[in-house]
Amino acid sequence: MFDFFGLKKKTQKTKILVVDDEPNIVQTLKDRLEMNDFQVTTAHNGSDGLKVAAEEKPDVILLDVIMPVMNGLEMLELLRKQPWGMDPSVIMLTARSQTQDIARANICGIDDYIVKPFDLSELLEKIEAILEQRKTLTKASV
Amino acid sequence: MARIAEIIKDIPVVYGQCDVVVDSETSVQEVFHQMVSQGAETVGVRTDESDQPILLNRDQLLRALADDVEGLQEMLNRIQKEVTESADERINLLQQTTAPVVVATAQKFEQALKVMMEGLIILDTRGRIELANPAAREMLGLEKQADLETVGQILDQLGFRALMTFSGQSAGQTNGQFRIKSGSASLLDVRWSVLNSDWGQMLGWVLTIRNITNEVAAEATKSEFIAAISHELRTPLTGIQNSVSNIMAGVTGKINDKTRQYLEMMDNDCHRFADLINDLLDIAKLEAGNMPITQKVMSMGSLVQNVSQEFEETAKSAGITLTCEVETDVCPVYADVKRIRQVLTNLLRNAIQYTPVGGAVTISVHDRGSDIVTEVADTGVGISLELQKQIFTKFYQVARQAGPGSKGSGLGLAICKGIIAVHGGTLWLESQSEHGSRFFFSLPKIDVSRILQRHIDIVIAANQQRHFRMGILLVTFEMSEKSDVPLRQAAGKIIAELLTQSRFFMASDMDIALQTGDNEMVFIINDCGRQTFESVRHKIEMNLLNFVKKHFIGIPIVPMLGMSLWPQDGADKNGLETAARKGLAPLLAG
Repeated sequence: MFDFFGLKKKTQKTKILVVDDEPNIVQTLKDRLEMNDFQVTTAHNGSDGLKVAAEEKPDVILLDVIMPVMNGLEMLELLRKQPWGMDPSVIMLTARSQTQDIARANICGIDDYIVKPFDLSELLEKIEAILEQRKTLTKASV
Repeated sequence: MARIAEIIKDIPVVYGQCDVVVDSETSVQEVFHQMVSQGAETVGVRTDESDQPILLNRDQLLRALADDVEGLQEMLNRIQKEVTESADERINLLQQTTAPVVVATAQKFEQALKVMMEGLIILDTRGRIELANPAAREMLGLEKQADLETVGQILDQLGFRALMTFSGQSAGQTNGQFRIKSGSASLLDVRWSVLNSDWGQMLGWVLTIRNITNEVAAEATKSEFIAAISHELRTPLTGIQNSVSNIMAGVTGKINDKTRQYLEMMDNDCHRFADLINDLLDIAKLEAGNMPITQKVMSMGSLVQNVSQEFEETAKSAGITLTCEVETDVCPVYADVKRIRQVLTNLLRNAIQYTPVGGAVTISVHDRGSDIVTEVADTGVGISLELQKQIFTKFYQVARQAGPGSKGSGLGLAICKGIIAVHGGTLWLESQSEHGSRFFFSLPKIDVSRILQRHIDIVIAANQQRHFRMGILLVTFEMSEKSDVPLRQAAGKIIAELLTQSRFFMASDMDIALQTGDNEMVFIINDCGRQTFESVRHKIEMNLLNFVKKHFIGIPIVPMLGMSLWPQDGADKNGLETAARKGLAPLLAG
C-alpha cells in the first residue's frame, strides 16, 4: 500500500497550461504534449489563463504575448503577485522577438522564451530543461 | 610695339628700386620681363621738371633723389595726399554700402530666430541666459514674451543647466545631447555646444531644442507595424509547422514513406519561410536603428569551434576541408551570442556554397590588440573588385543561379554587416576572382569599465528629469591561482547561477544585472537608499553563499562583494566603479 502511493506520486504527470488565442496552435501543442505524457490544460486569453492557473496550479505555463482581453504580459504580472504565483515556470511564446517584451517579462520572471514559429521538438527540449532545473531547485531548498 | 614712355604715362607714381637696363629702343615687354625676372620688388620712376619720365636704376634713382630734395618732398606729399584721399573715399563707400547690409543681416537673423521651428538659447560663461527665441520659450511651456529670468527658472526646474555641466564633466567635451520631458508633456531633444571665439576663448553655450514627440511616435508606429505584420505572418506558419511536426511525430498514427517525404518537404519550406520573415524583420530593425542586442561576455574561440563543428557534415558532403584555427586564451568580447552566431553561420554557409569540391574553408580567430578579428577564408570562386562594392547591398547574390535549392533572401551579408556595426565592429572582405575570398569581422575587446559605464548612463538617462539615487554592487572572486582554468570555470558557473536568480533581487525595471567579466558581475540597483541597498546586498550574499556551499565546497575561491552608492559614495558617476572596487571584501562564511 505504502509502495503503491510512492509509485503514484512518482508517476504523477507534469501539469502544463497552454495560453494562446490561436486555436490551431493550442490544439497542436496540446496533442503533442499529451503524446509526450504531460497533463495539459488550455486557455484562450490571459484572464482565462489566470483562472485556470489558480485551479490547476500548473508546473509549467506556455504563454503567448499578444492576446485579446488580457495579454500575456499582463497575465504574467498578475500571476506573479499571487501567493503561489512564483512557483509555475513560464515559457513565453512570442511572435515578435522585440526585446522590450522579453525585458518586461524578465522583470516578472520567466524561465525561457521561444519565438514563433518554433520547432515543437525545440520547445519540448526547453520544457525538459526547465523540469530538470525545478528538480535540482527543489532538492536544494530541502 | 609699345615703348616705355607710353606705359609710364598710365602709371602716375611708381617708386622703389629695380635694376633695369633701358635704352630708348627697349620694348615694354622686355622691361617687364627683366623686372619680373628680378622679382620686381619695386620700380623707380622719377618725374622731374621735364615732361619726359625717365626710368632709372637703383643707384641713379638714389642719386637723383638726393640731388632733388624738393622734388622728393613734393613726391611724398603727393603720395600721402593720394593715399588719404583714397582711404577717405573707401571709408565713405564702405559706410554707404555696408551699414545697410549689416543692419539688414541683423534684422534677418532676428527674424530667423523668431520664426525658426527649433528653440535656441544662448548662455554666457556663467550659465546666465543671454538669448532665448520664442520657439524655445514655447517648447519650455512659457509665454512668447516671458523674460529671460523665467526661462532660467524653468531650465533649472528641469535640472537642465546642472545636466549640461554634468554631462560636460569629462574633459574636453564641447557638445552633448539629452532628452527631457517638458511641462506640456512633449519630448524635447536638446543639443548643446560650447561657444568658443576664434582664438579659443570660451564665450558660453548654445542650446538647440527640438520637439521630437511626433518623431518618436512615428518611430513607435513603425515598430508596431513591423511587429504586427510579423505576428500576422508567423502565427499561421506556426500552425502549419506544428501540424506537420505532429503528424511526423506520430500523433495521428503511423504514416507511410511517401507521406513522410511530403511532410519533410513541407517542414523544410516552413523553415525557409520562417528564415525569410526573420531576414526581413532583421533588415527592417537595422534600418530603423533598433536592432535589439543582448550583450554578454563571450568567447569568440569557443563559438567558432562550436559553429564549425555544426558545419562538419555539410562540408564533408560538399567535399570541402573545413579547418578551425583558434589561438588559445583569446580575450573575451562583449556581444550577443545569438547574433554573432548568425553572422558566423552566414559567412560559413556562403564559403561552403561558393567553394568547389576539393577546396578548403578555414576559420580563424586572432587578437589584433584593440579588437578580436574572426576570419572565414575559402578557396572558392572569389569575388571581383566590382562585385565587392555591391556585395553588402540588399538583395544581392554573387552569380545568382536559376534552379532549385535554398537561395535565401539575398539579405544575409547586409544583415551581417549591420549586426557587426551595432556591436561597434566592422565587417570587410579581401578577394580576387578565382582566388577565393577572405571575410573578416572585428569585435571590440571587452572593457569592463566601459560596459559598466554604459549601463550607468542608461540608468541616468532614464532618470534624467528628477533627482535620483542608485547603487552598484560588484561581485567577483578571489582565487589562489589566477590562471587556474577549473577555478575560473567554477566562478563562471556561480556567476551564471547568480544571473539566473537575479530576478529575485530586482525591484524596478531599471535594475540591471550584468556580467562584466569571466568571473565578475555587477548589479545596478536604481533609485534606492542605503537601507534598501543593504537588504538587496544581504539577499544576494545569502544566495551566493548557499550556492557556493552547496556545489563548490572545498574549492579555494572566495566570493568578494563591493558596493557604492550614488551620490553618497561617488561625487560623479565615473567614480562609482572605483569606489565599489576599493570596498571589495570577502563574503563572510556563516
